[in-house]
Amino acid sequence: MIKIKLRFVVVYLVLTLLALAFLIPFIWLFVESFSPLNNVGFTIPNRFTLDPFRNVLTNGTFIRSIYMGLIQSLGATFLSVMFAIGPAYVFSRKSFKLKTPLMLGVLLLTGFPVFSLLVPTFIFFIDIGLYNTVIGVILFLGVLNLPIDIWIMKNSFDQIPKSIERASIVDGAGTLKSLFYVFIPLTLPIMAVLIILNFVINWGNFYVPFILLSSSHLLPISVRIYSFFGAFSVRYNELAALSIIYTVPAVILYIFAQKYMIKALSGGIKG
Amino acid sequence: MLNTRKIKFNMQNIIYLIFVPTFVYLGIFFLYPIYISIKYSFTNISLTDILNYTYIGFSNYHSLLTSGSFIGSIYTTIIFLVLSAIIGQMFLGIVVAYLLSVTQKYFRLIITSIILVAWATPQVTAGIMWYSTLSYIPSGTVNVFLNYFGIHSINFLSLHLALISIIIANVWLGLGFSVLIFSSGISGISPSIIKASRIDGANPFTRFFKIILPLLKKSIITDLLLITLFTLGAFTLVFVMTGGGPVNATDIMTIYQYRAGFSLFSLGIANAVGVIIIVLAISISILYLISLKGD
Repeated sequence: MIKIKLRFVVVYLVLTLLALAFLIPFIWLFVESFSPLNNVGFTIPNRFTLDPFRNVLTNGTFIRSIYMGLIQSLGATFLSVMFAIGPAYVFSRKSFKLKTPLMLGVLLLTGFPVFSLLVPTFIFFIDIGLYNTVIGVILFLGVLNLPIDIWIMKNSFDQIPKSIERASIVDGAGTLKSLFYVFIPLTLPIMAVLIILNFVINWGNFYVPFILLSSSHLLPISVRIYSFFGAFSVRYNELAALSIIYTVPAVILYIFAQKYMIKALSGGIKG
Repeated sequence: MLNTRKIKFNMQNIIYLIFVPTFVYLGIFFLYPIYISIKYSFTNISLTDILNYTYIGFSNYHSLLTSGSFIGSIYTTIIFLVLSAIIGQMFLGIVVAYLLSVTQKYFRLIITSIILVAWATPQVTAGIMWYSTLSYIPSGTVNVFLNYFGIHSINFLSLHLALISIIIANVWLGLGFSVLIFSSGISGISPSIIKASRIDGANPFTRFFKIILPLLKKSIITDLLLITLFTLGAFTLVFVMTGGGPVNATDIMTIYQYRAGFSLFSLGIANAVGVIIIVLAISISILYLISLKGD
């Protein structure tokens, strides 16, 4: 009996230590963002201040980068979700000759190492005039999430019983009508989660705007933070404050949405 | 008669038109870049003049595969993959998920959330945080702790330790994903199996290796595929923390590709590196599909 208890104590202890270790990198970020000092190392200041946040939030360049980040992430999210609905519906409800190869193709794109596509896309965008445009970034970010969105949406459509669809067709609704009046409303919660996940992924993406944009006024917050970090004399407390403004909302949204994502993803694997 | 049937037939198939916009979009912005990546990898295209280039056959691949720095980059990538993805994320992920599965519900929720916060943190932020946390001069959080216990500061981002440091940072970032996959895998194992094994007198270690691991086979393969692909395509965290340096100590293939294209201006070489990464990724994915079919 004692042996079993001891074993449990060890499990709890190990997991607690692991969680504490996971929090270590955040210590600097939070201490520094409220510090009047300016230090890449770790020091506990003798007083705390909100000045770094105030300075960041009154700086036009940073406000603009937040706005740019929002436009680019939301625009790309809109594109991925819109273009995913149709194929997801057809994959879920119809059977046709090319179904398996097409679905495998989409699956293959899901795990694609997209970073390696940035060099050719960079050349392609210069050729067609999309380089250094917001619309170019939106179009490319949007296509990257499209394959996984098709999968997640197909799986959520799969869960709608055939009988409901049949009832709507008996009622005289055509296929398209049943898509808009039955499938989309019934999967609205998953759609909401999908939109959040897309947004958070796009918001966190650094390398797409970093490589496809060059004008300072177009840079989203992810790239702005990086160039702030790489600048000559960095005001680290403001960098930390800006990073918190950038990070905390995204993390909260993600934690809220992830519960549903795992369900959808593991459904996808069963496919 | 014939006519109406034909119209009906068309109406039945009209739904497939829904594919057209999506596949056009995927075709232009996803498949076409793959195609030109292959095309440009056989040219000497340069960042200084992207309009004038000539085809040079396999020269780019040849010079890559005979260059010490690229071979070194492949080695670095393999070490990064094995230590970060396979040992650090997959194996540790199974262990943590298993330990979590025997703990109390709210404790489990708190620990899982903390691990997930790391996974949800945008990589630019993660890179900056880790850079500061491991900072040598001035002392970052870890060195302040070490000094407090009387241990000398360690230069974590030096030539010999930088690779280990980015591996630790990447495990920190990625562990949450594996824990999620394995937690849902473990919760799918019927409790009666675990109970039966307990009655049989199996100790926790045997139980873990003989019963839990084999039942998790599908989760393991899935997790292994996804984190291998994530890690192969990892860029931002390492780029922010070390930029591939010092010297070439953390020069994983994606960073090599970036530098070839944008520091050395050789977009031809950069595309060739990209094609090599894509071929590796597709081979890994196909292996995965085959191993799932085997079941």
